[in-house]
Amino acid sequence: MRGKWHFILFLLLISYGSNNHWVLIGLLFLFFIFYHWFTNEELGKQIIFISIGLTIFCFSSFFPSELSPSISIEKSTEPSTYTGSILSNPEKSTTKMGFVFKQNNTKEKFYVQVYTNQSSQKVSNSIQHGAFCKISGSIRKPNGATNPGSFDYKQYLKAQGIHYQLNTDLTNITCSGRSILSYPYKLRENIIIYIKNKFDPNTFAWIQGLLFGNKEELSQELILTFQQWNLSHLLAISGLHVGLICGFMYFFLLRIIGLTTEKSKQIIMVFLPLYAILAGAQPPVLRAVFMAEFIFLFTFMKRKIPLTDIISITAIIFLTMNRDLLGQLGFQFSFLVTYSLILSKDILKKHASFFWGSMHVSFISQLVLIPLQLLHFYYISPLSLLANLVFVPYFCLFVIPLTLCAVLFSWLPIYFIKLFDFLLDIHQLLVQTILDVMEPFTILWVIGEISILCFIAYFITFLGLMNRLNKDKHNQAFLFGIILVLILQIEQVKPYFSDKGTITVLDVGQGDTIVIELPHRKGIIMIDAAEEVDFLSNDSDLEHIEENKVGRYVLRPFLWSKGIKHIDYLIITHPDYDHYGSMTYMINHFDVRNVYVNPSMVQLKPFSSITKINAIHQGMKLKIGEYDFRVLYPGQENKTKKSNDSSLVIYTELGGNRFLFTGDIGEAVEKELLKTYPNLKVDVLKVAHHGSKTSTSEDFLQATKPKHALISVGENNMYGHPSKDVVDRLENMGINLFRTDLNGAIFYYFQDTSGTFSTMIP
Amino acid sequence: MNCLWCHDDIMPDITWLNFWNPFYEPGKICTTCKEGFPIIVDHVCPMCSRPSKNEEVCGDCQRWSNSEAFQGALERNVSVFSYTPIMKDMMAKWKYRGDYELIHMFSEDVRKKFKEAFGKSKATLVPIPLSSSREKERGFNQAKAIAMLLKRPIESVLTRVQDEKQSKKTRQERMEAENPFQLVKEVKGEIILIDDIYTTGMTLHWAAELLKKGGSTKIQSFTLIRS
Repeated sequence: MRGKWHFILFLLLISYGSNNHWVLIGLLFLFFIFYHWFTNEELGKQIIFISIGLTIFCFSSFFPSELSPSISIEKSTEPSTYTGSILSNPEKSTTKMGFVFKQNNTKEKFYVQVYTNQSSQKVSNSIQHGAFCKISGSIRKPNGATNPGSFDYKQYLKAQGIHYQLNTDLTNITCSGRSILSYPYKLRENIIIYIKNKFDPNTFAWIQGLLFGNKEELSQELILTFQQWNLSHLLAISGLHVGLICGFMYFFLLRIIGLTTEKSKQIIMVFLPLYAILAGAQPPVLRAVFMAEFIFLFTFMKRKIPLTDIISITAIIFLTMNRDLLGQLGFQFSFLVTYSLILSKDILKKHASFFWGSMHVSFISQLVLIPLQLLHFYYISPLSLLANLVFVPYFCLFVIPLTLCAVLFSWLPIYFIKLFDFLLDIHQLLVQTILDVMEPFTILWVIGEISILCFIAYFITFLGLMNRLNKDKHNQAFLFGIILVLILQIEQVKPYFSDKGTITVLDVGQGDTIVIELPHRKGIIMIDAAEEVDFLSNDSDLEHIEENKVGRYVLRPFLWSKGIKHIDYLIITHPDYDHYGSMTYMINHFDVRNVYVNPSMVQLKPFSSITKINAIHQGMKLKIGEYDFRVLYPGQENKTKKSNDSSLVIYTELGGNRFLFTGDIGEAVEKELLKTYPNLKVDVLKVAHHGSKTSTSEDFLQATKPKHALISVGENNMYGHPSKDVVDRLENMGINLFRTDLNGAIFYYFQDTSGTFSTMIP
Repeated sequence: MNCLWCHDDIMPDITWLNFWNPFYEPGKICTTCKEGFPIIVDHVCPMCSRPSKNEEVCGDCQRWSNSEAFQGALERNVSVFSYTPIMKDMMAKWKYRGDYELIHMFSEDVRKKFKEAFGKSKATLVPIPLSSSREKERGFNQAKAIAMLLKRPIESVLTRVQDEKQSKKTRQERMEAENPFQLVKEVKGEIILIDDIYTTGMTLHWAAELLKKGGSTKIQSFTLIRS
């Protein structure tokens, strides 16, 4: 069976994909028949093998393949008490902690968040891995993504087999008992606290990031920059770190203590599982430790076994223990990269020099990850290869050993501690400087969400490329490389050949942002760029309020997921923060080619400094191909003092429907509009001012006769928008209503003279 | 599976080339041993496969082409391995001590090289014969053993009359000896001679000369080793 285990893994993946374990058993059976036929290996061994295999599968969590939750609730339930045990190591921060909780009778998993404001050390300490707990609170469904491209918390929990959240505080929870695993977890916690007290915050942040797999103390900016340069793997404990730790320990035990190789290996074998838990026990570190243990075990047994088998067996064990891992990013990245590096051993052997070796390692790992990277982040950074060439050796040879030494020698007197602090300050400065120098060279190739076809085509071509590289046929390999780039290029330009267009009303909370993509990418128009105003948020931790929240977490992911990096026309209807707050962010992060505002805004503060700004007013027409966008309001000389009533009103026809985008206009402006355009008829009305009762008058609706109404409004906003009057008015007239607070993002897909609506949350 | 040479366990060598193939089997020789049998890659004399830096026709081959008797008889020789001390041991074990199985260490490389060099040719394979007494003593003909790896029609059209071991003679002695072969049956068309080793090239040229007289148009040779 040696050298064949990856096929077993493959069969396992197929059966997970088809969601039927009989498929697996059938396939396994067929595989063994064929295998026996072709190799004539003794059947006895295989019978043992099959029975072991079947036992594993029977006892794994795999068999009762529950995918849907066993209890169903609407949005949330009345508070009640749940008993069960804690499945994960509780993650603690200053104000709250979170853990996975498995309810005893339903076997349903909850993600429990406990607010720890009223500090009761005793209760908080009893919350440990494996503890049996009684928790009171109400369970609710986690929030799904309300915009395309945004982080989907519901999906994220679902990938871990969790369908519900339970929020509570320390008074509603009592725990007792603990598992064996809770001891090393406690040790980890204590070591981290000890180190936190010993070192500077900067030193602590790096130690925690590089040795304990927790990057929360590092600056958000740094983490983001690392991500853009594909350097995140340095901050997630993986094979690299485990390899280094093994190397250090081996050297130390063999050379400095003077033990035999045998003894050294045995000690490392015992230590590694402990390290895995100390390092946070995430899939990549578990994978690396499992593999290392297997390798040691087989060398002790004097058995030679290919690395592909070791990693396949590791993956099979992981997936039978917990099939949810398959959906987790860390698992996917870690296994995919390791597999491709193992298969590349001939290629890597040929380039034994440090430079070419690391070049190839970087190249192969980045290449194999591109499709996954695109699925999750929508962009690739072609120059990240170079960044990895600089940073990987630097971290492996200096920073990780340095942090390791800092921990090992943290018992030394204070001036040694100061030395480590000093060295890591230099390191921080160095990293920052290098990143700053590289900043202008950041090239992000935004491709967008790739199709399954592109995904498959990419991997087939990638296999061809690796095959040629393995055969030393470099010219052919190069050709395959070009095809790879072409595949991505085709995926990127696809919208330019599509005769479908889209209007998206994004869920930006209390504010407006509407993106219009014309067919064939003839134009991308954005009406307003909101930023959330939450000056009334009574959250105690004010420092956690981030700038550009909407820009970062809604606008950028949405636009990037569609492969959009430029905006042809950014129209800001009026100078309110919930309509222009993300404008600066957009200008800084996207290629915004024109900014159009109403006449009263050109002299105003943030707008006056923009170079490509133009005022538009009534009677003007923006013509893009066969599409017209008419400005119906305000006139060139606008006398109103109210900002809302200076809103640009835009009229257009798309996919056979007439649209009116109204900004925040009030009743007075509506009257004026009807006076100027007595025959104004509308099919789709963007309801003015988030559904406020000061707009959308009966008269206006009667006159324009819309069939559909779109309201962009924040959930539970402090203004009480949309007003009940307006909603009733619309409903009484039989107008089809879409609301971003209830429906999430609203889409209108159009082609020629037809268009259809759909929403993010059905 | 154990290595035919060192008897160590052979580990399947899974790479991008074979990971997709459920019926892939590792070779008969382990990677470490394989390194002891170096394959001739490039920079060789185009006529006889002897290592030559600038890939020019070597002195020996020039002499062959200038000699009256052998001019144009053997067009080209292709060999798979170069002659190393380990290879010498292998030949001793295989040929003289009769460990026939050892040839399977090379089957893959032999096939690969043959395909590269003669892939399109429709030539007949003619193994260099042993005298009947010698073949009886060894139990097999090494040239035929190699030819059999190639899975192509084999025609044994030559016999050997005189029976002195080539390997016991000096170059001079070899050159002066008489052609030891006889042609049993004439073969028209293309021929590829098969032998275990090309040392001076005398044996192959004798055979080639004879076949040429018999009416063969194009004669090439393929040997396991080029010393």
